[in-house]
Amino acid sequence: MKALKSSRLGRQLALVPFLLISILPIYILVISAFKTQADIVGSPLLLPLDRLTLDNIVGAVTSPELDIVGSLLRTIGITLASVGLSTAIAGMVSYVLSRSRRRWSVIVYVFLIMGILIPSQVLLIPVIRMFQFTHINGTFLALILYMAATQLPYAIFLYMGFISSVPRELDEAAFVDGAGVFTTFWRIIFPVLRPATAAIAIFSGLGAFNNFIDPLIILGPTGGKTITTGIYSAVGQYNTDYANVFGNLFVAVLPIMIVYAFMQRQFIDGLTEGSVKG
Amino acid sequence: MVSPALFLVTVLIAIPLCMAVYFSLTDWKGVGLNAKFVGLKNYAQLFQDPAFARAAFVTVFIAVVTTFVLNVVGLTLASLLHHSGALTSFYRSVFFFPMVLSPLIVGFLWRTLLDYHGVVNSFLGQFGVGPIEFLGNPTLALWSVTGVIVWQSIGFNMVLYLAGLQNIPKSLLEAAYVDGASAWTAFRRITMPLLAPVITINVVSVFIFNMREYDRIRSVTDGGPGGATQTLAYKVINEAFNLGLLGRGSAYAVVLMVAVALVAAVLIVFLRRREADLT
Repeated sequence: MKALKSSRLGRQLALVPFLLISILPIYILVISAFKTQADIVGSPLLLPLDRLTLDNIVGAVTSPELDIVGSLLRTIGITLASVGLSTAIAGMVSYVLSRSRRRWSVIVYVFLIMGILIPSQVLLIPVIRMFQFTHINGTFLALILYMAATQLPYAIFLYMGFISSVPRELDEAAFVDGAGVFTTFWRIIFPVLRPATAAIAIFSGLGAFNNFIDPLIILGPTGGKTITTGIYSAVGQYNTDYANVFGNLFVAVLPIMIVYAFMQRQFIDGLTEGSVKG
Repeated sequence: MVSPALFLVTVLIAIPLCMAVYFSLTDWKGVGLNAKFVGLKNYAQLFQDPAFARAAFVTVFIAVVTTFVLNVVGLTLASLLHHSGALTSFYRSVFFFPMVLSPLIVGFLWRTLLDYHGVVNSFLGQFGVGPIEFLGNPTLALWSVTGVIVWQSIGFNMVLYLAGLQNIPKSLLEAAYVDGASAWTAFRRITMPLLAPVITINVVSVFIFNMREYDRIRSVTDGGPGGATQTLAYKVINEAFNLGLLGRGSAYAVVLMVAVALVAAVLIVFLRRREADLT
């Protein structure tokens, strides 16, 4: 028993350095947002209570490059729209494919999920050309459609895993009552799939929220900023004004920090569950 | 019910994919439609270009090193956490947090911390060490970027391994100990084989994901110093959108895509076979 206890203590001690490496950069980011340049460099780990400043935060919040309120609203809008679109579409197609016994459904499935392997950079050059051709380049519509399309493969892959565990008796009962495929899916199957939908929406949503290259290329310099492209124009240039950089970074990560504080479990499960199930 | 998905994937994934292959065979410079078909010329130039060889090396380096470190450290952390009781979920939340941040922002954070006059060097200076050129020295810069990726992603692999460990029935391990097995033997003979599918997922997802590394390169080093940290994904965007060489950029893109597909296929076949051997 004593040996077991000491080995448990040893494990906890062994975790400490890893824990510090994980926490310290975040800690420094948060405290430095309230410190002067001299204090950031002079005493990186300390929080000199008598010399705290709000200048960095005020500077970041009022920065036209970051445009934090506008960027945040645009990012949330783009995220909700693309995730809503992709989960709805993915859910429907996965339901039909998982219930179909025909051979073509396997071919369609493979065609739809093949995109998992394709890096976004490969598609961006032609996609920009197509958007220019249809005159929607630089618009939120273009960005949302492209993001939804690139979220689809993985969402379908995950939904297929979940739907196959939903008993067929459920939809057969609905069919007997005269419901069509569309109604059956939305009224009967979709509510049962709520945990799967939550996991998929968090996975796609976080990817969309943090996406940098798609808004950078598709929205371009004039199409409105998101959090990532905003922070890129605010601190992208090499910059030794650390106080300013930390202020901007802190303001940019604050929303996700707050959400994470309340929804850690959902985030962790949403991001990892899929890969375990699939 | 099938058509919206088919439409979006066809128009925004499948057709662009074919277009990318076609563009890579042209000298398209992005202005107008004056793309001339040049056959494999872009590829021929690519394979003679030292910048391409370097980008390929950097891409493979990052993918291999992060895959190795993330899996070894991820499994180690998971084993340490496995019996932490009430603290487990606290540790999980802490280690996982960087994973929900934008890779671009994490990159800017580390660029600032690792700057020559930055926080890390000022901290090391208090012990008489440095300053170290974390981002100014080509070799160190590559290691630094790789380290940043590991720092951000470790929680993801740890959580996957933790879930895998918790799925192993306790009775199996207890039976092994009763039969006199050492901790190491039990790990080799019971834990590892049962973890094999989890290992496959971890290795494949980390490798093919980190082969496309772009955001953190852009923010930590912006490909520098002197191109020492440019990945293939970085090259695609740089050639196509900063230099306007869309034909050449497409050739980079096609090479990257083929590489990712090949690696995924090889890894999955190899690891699945290993899973079968172990069980």
